[in-house]
Amino acid sequence: MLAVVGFFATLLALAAFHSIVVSGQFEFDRLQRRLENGHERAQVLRAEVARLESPSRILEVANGRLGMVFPPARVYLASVVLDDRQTILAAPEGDPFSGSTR
Amino acid sequence: MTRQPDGLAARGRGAGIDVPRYDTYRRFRRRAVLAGVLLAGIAGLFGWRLATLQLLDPDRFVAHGEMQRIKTVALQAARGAIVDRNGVDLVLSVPRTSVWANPLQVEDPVRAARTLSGILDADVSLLEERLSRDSQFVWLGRQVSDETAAATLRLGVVGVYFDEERARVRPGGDSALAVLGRTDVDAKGISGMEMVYDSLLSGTDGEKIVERGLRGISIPGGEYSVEPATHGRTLVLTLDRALQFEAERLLIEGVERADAEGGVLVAMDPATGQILASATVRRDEDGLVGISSEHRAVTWTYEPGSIIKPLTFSAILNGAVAAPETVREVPGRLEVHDATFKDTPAHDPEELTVADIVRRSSNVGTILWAQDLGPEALHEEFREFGLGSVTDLDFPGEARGILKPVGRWSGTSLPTIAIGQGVAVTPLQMLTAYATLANGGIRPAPTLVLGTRDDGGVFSPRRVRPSMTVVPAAVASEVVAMMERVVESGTGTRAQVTGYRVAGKTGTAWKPHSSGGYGSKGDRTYVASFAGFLPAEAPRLAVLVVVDEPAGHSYSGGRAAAPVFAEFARFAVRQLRIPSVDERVGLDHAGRVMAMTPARHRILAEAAEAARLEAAGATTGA
Repeated sequence: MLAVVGFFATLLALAAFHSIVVSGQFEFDRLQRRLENGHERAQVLRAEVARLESPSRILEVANGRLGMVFPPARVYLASVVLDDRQTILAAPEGDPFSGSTR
Repeated sequence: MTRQPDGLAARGRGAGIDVPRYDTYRRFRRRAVLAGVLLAGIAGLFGWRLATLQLLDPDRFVAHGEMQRIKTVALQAARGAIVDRNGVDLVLSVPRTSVWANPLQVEDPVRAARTLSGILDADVSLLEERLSRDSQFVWLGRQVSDETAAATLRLGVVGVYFDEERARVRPGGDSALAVLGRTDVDAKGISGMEMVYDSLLSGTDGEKIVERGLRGISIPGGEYSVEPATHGRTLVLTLDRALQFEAERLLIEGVERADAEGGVLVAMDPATGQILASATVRRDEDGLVGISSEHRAVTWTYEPGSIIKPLTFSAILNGAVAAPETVREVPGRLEVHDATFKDTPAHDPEELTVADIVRRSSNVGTILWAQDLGPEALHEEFREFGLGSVTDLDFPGEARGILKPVGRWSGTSLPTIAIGQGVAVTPLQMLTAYATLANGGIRPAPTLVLGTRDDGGVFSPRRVRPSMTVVPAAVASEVVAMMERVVESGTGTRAQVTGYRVAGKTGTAWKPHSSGGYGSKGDRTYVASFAGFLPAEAPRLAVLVVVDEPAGHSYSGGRAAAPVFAEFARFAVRQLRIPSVDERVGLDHAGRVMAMTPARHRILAEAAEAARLEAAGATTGA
């Protein structure tokens, strides 16, 4: 009687173990698919970030949607001017940062 | 009379037996025997089949079973990205859907073609022809957008399927297209860096062997082996995306301003030969100036004109024929064999130093000194500077330029070549020659590649090609000083950059006509150029601007090309963090004053006041 019970208990344990292995394999497959999808998604997003950051796209938005235009001449500010005490440079007209530093 | 069965009578069971029940029993027994035989036969068949499967030819069926369960999945190697020197993506691969069909499963090819053509943006007759083929596979659309793929899927056309492929995308659009190149639809490089480094970018496909049951689920403990794909390496270029974009933008503006046919701008780090930007723009048939897909910095040859003069005088100084301050009389015109060479503007004979000749770009003065030097020495020096031979760039289609051997020179070759006519160079050759002067006489090997990065991010630098000493540093330094005067007060004043010492030279070359000769005045076309570098005392940026066929009055190098150089250089020194003359003095310099906006000045003043008050309070408290 004990042997029969033991036999069936072993069968049950084996079935349970097999069930765990199968569900583990299922989970492994799922994670692997998710990993592959994640890699692909990351690549798509990487391309999208690069496109959004590209100067040509920024120029397009600035010229188009925002209505910006290039100034007729650019003025580059020197960060160091030797022997020149008049170096407090005027902020550009309408500079949003010039009055908000307090 | 009732008929008695003999058997029963013999067994002596008496006459009370029901005859119909006996018949039923007999029928049952007969059927049971029959069923038994049948079952035995079926069992025999099964046994025979089992024996056939297990004993007679087991391998075939094992193989058949494995074929059904074991799948080999190709692991496609991802093509490596191309990035700029700061790691910004210039080209990369993204997954895209491709649409294909099994024509044998398509019921009505004509109708299917009509339905699909609108969505796939393909010709109806082409689709119809493909869908009518006696084949099991035809492409309908390669690497379509996600929206197109979704719309095609919604149609639900029987026999139409989808596959995933990788498409090559350039997030910056056509910027640097000529350098980056293209791939075909199968991601094989066909031009530019995509072609040169195709094997490195491609990688090697892998495969996965897996045992799968119904619905594609892997069988636990079954066959499983993976040979991973080796992804393509990331190619790290020397280009700087911001510089490249600005070079293209400014060059388009410059070409439009000069009403020219096209232009080239190349920027290089003279110490390393690394190309920081390489822009080519062309005017199309509609008259619009746009980025070209041809890398004309290396594929186009042109007669450089006067920007070759610093090389001529390098040879003269190197040959100890003259020094920068050596004076000689220079007439306004000079006859050599059957040709007349003139200076522009015309002038009477006057005493000019070598430095003055360079500053004023005197053709006659240059020719006189070149004649003193001799053709062999001039030719040898030009060869050393890299003229007439391909560079170390390894770019497909690179031109050698034209520098004929001295034996094939005519009587006018020496004076002509000395002033940059009768010799053809690529823009890159000329820039490399200027970089040589900027680099103390050592010619750098131009390169577009910093190195490669593997999938794990490990960087492998490109092998640095050896540099070559062309002229002694002292000679290079003297030539640079003469070129500084060109920008200070000569023909190149429009190339000045505030805060930086610039050395350079203008060139306004006659462009040869396709029928031969240069044409007469009014009929001539020009190539205007300016090449220079800065800061002149320790050059970190060398730039060449060439404007092809400028029209109108602004056809000279000083007017058409020098302003583009200056605008680009002003941007580049900030992008590359090249300090100005003032910024390079020590922090302890008494006159060093940080420039600041009023707001920043106010903050610092308030902080100083607060510190003063705190110090005063502390003193009072003590």
